[in-house]
Amino acid sequence: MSGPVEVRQVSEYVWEIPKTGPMLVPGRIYADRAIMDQLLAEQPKAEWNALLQVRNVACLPGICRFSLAMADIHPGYGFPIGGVGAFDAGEGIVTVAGVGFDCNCGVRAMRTGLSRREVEARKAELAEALFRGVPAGLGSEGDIRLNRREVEDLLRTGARFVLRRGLGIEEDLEYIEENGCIAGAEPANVSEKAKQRQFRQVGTLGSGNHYIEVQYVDEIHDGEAARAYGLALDAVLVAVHTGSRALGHQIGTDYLPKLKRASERYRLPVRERELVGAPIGSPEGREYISAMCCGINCAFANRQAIGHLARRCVSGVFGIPPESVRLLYDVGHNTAKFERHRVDGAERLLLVHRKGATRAFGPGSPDIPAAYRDVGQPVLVGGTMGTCSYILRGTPAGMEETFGSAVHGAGRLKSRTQALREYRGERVVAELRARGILVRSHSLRGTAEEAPGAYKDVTAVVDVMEGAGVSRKVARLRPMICVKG
Amino acid sequence: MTYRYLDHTADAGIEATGATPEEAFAEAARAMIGLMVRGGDAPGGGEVGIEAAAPSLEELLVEFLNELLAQQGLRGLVFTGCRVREIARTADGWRLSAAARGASPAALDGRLGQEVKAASYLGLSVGEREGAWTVRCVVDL
Repeated sequence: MSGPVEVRQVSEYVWEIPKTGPMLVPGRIYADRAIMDQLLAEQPKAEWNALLQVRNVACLPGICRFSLAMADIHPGYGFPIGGVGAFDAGEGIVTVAGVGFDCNCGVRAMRTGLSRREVEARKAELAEALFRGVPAGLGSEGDIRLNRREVEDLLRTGARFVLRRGLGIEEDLEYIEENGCIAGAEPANVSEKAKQRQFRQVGTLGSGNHYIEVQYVDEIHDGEAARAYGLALDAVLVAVHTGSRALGHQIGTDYLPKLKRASERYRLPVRERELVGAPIGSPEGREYISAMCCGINCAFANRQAIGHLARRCVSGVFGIPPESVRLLYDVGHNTAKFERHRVDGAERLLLVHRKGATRAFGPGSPDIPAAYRDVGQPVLVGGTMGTCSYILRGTPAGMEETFGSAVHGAGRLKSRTQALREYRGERVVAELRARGILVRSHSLRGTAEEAPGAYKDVTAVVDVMEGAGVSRKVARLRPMICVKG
Repeated sequence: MTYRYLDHTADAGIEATGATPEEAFAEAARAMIGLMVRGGDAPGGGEVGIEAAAPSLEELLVEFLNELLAQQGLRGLVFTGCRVREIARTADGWRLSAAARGASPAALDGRLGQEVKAASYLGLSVGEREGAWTVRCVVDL
């Protein structure tokens, strides 16, 4: 099985890599013609390309129905970014490539109760408060200092740990995926080094594509869902994009060689070096899953801490009670989670890997907050600091076709080196300021790498998912302030 | 001794060369450090010993780069340079000894770039051809 990957169009927005050779299932990619043309054009140029990665994932034991990629697909490590792979809990495997080094990186969105007009009047003040109030950038440290025992408590209890420290309100937990704490976390399977790296990292944003953004609703696409989510035109939200910080990075680093050895031991078909894993029920597989769950809880705790710091900033600038800034939802996009899905008429327990893909459960799911159960789960899709973001909702079709998954962002179009050749950080900041968007960044170089032009058109990406019926647009959000690490 | 960055849509590929494995590994470290901070050492910076071991030279490269990331995090530093003292065979593979120089993030204000999350196995290779060693890997940003 070598040479370029062949694709055939199934419908307007769905493409298939037919099952050939060692593939156990077909590949399925959600894309329009332009996105697919870009993927096909990359094939001969890049030794690592996303279509090949979709095909490689399709060869892994226990994969169920399809190796999937959402419309924000681009090359990752072993798994494509935007990739979804669901593996039978009995016969399948867990792979570190399907989670990545930033375990449970995700997005939190909070309603401020303020209007665009109110925030415009004090925008610079709020930007400064967020820039000063939330530790961000390379090497930054949080105010929460933990010891080993406390880190282990955090890994078991997730967002609640932070809440107990006074960072948050009880209601927050209801609006976090898994209520901010996934079961199965075992801190004993997380290395001492990983724990130590987290002693001063809780409540830090990080750098790269992580951000805090103040946004306003500029379009409502689905009135019923918008009402359920508490969204109205010109309503201002604060969004946070970050993950499990150094602890998550170290878990990935620690388990990569362990799972490489496990792949050899269990003779798994490793078609790309990073695509290593272990049978879900094996000692190595169980150990990694329990460590990964610690990483998931660490990310929930981190977003809870940052969310509350941002809430305090809004409260301080506008003189409103902190609790009036209410959590809309918090959902990850780098996870592997046990979920029950109907497959060919029968319910099956699957380990669903989402690498750069957001869980997007449809109406009626018991796993989403009661307030959203009639319309489906909010799906938070980060765009770029110069364009827009979206809130989507999960659909029944998504539950059938993508194991309840959708896109997580615009998806990069240009490499960071290409972005640095084309953009200057100062220029990006000035251009966005001229358009009314305030960018505060700890690294101008990082700002250039994250320039809006380095990303795909997020509207085209969410339109693909809507066109395919996998998720529905609820609201479009325009940026007002972007704080970068 | 030199390094260059290879295009990777989301992250950064590194290719480094040297007359010896030590030189090539040190260049790879320089390339990774170059993503995080511009310019040379900062005044008042300290030196940190780095040790790594792995079954193969390829895995040693990943272990080494990841140990650099771990140590700078644990010590609250950002590394600005690295010297590889020795790469040697052991009974069960390879070991590396190096020294990294770094400074506090505050001392490097205005020079900082992206945080590197980890070095990966993607595109990983270590090879020697006509007396020149070339190493490659992709790091996650």
